[in-house]
Amino acid sequence: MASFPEIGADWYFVLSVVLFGIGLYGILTQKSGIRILMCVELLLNAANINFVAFGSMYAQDQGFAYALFIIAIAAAEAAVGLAIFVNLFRVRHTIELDQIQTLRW
Amino acid sequence: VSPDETSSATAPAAAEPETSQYAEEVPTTLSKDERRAKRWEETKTDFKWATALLFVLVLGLSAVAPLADGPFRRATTYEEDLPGMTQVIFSPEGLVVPFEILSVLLLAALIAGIALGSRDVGREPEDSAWRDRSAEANAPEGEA
Repeated sequence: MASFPEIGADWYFVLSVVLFGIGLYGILTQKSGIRILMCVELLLNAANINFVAFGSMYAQDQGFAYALFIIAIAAAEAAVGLAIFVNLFRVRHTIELDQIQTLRW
Repeated sequence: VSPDETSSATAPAAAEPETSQYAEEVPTTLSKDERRAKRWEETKTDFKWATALLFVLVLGLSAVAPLADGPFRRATTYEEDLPGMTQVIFSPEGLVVPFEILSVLLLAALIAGIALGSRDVGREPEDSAWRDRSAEANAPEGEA
């Protein structure tokens, strides 16, 4: 059975940077609320990969624990965000954030 | 005359497919190029080129960074230590208090999601006074 070469920690950081760049690009350029929410999730996942990579590199378990916390926070954020967008679409018939200029419905 | 032709001649004109009020806004059949153009139009023009440049820079840096010598160059990784992780989270001197706070946060998010989803707002927005006020507030300058 062929053995795969070990992936160094540096490539995890590269993956994290790429994910962070994609998320940042999406947040800055997109108008749709759902897309922006997805890009925020990408940012959180980039941070997660960094936590796990550094925790693994230095054999520190805190990195894994913080990653679990971030996953839970991302789930809560996604739940509330999606509920807000569902309500927003009911009221305004759009979720393009450029067209939402007031917080009062 | 075949029965098929008779039935088609006497049959009423085919009913037009029902179109929703959003049918023009969200066409369902778009070619690949049209979808790409629509996606490009939906992108904010203010940041389009600046962020594209930033994105290329970040990608370039991330591709070059592993080639440079540094502490992360071919750094070895370790297997996760599950007992150690549980010790970090659940020990009193560890993260057990944030863990409990997180459980409250998740519960609050659950309740908030249900409350927001079950609200009756927007069912008949045209009849609501606040809808008119909101439309006025959001109208472009000069139209309000």
